[in-house]
Amino acid sequence: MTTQTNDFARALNSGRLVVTAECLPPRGSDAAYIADFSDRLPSNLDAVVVADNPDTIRSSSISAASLLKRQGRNNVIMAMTTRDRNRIALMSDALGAAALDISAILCVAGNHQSISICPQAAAANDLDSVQFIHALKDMILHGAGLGGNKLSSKPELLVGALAQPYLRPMELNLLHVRKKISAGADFLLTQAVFDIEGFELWLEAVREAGLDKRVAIIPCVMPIADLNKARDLQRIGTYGPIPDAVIARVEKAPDAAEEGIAIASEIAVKLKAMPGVRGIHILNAELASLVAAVIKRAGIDPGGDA
Amino acid sequence: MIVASPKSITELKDIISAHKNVLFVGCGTCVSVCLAGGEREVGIASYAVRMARKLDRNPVEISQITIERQCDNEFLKELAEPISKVEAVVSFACGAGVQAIAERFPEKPVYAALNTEFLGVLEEQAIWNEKCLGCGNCVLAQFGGICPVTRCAKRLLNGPCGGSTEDHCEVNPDRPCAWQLIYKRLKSIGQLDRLEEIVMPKDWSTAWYSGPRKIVRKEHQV
Repeated sequence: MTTQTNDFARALNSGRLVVTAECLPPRGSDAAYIADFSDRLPSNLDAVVVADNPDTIRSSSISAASLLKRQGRNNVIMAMTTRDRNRIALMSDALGAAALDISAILCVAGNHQSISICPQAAAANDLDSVQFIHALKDMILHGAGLGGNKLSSKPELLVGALAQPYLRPMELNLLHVRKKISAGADFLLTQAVFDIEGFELWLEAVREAGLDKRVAIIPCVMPIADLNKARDLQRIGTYGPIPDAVIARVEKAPDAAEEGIAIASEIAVKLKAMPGVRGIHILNAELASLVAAVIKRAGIDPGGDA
Repeated sequence: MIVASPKSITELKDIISAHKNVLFVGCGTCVSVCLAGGEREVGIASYAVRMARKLDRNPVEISQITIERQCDNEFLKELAEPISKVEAVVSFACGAGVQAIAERFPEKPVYAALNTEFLGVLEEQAIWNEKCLGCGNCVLAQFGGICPVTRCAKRLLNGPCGGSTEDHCEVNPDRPCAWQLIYKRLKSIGQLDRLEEIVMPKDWSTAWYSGPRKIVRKEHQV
């Protein structure tokens, strides 16, 4: 369970549904883009989660997170891939993030560089996400850095990780979730949920194992705004599996974006009702307006001030 | 074994385009077994390059020899005489063999005819798979004899990524997910509890990251 006392930790422990949204940094060096994106997001989100090169090379997550703070966002969560940083860079950037008053680090392995990002690149893969979670927690709780160095101060950060509801067999899935929790994850963001039955099966197994009591589970919804992009995401699996039926429903609809919002909102409503769900994270493919649209339609008004 | 694959005849022809008299040297060990650089392959490549150069109106004389192992000084001795008669050498060994010849014959240009690929096994006729990265600190005992360092595309040591399916790896649909294999294997040998433990960060100092490695085994020195 959460060990820190920042506002995001308080929100996770508040008992109400936490609502967060994704921020994809720009593909260029345009600082105004972040300011504009932030202004278009609802002001009462519990946190904004900055992605770390999930699909292509974008501006750095630490820079975008810092710009969001400058924009007055209270809780900013910064994703960091173990793909692009060795343990030296992971520790160093995490300390830097804490100095910038970033609330949490989302520890991810990252999509493989060969899938649409940069196939020629060598990946760091020095630590994996579980080792990164564990190392961060060691820094936060004990002021201990990797390689035995003592830190001059303990960073105040929450630690997030990803969960993969559709990974089977379930036994392997739960082993992995348990490991992330034991390593020190305070919250788990999931892949995008479309197949609600598959998600429910997983959540039931998680609840049965008592894991929802040990970690805050925040499933993701993804309003599809662009059918071509959705087909790409279905093919490369950046945010998890997208069933053909979802693509077909958007395809048949007179207004694809509206249908995408409708689908994501229906899913958010169902997720909200499930015991063990502590929040909803809204992906948005750079379209900030989708976040407010889903919140309104699903009736999941956040109570934060991020 | 070390698995290699041949460079194309066009590339090979271009690499030696400035030379008129070249020795093609095969290696009788790993690369013979993986059908890339043995006597047979050297013969075929010599013929093909000779023909290609003829068509380019730039004929070349190619002689051939295949020795037991190019990575072993003992066998390299046999090359002294044939190498003295040519302008350049094309080695059909792995990268280690090519460099062994270059060191042994400092006055001769030496070129590689193969792309050295990996440490692997022959899975079925004409199909080789990579199994070992040579990290210098074997962890196979923990993972039921399946190496996640080599066989997981993200080198994950604590479980599968979000792209894992029971059928394949997200990076390549022709490849099984190493973590699904590890899970099945540990389950079948009754060691699934190994997956409960967090595997701590690997010490990569035994791998290539500290630079090229050297082994001295004092007990075997004379």
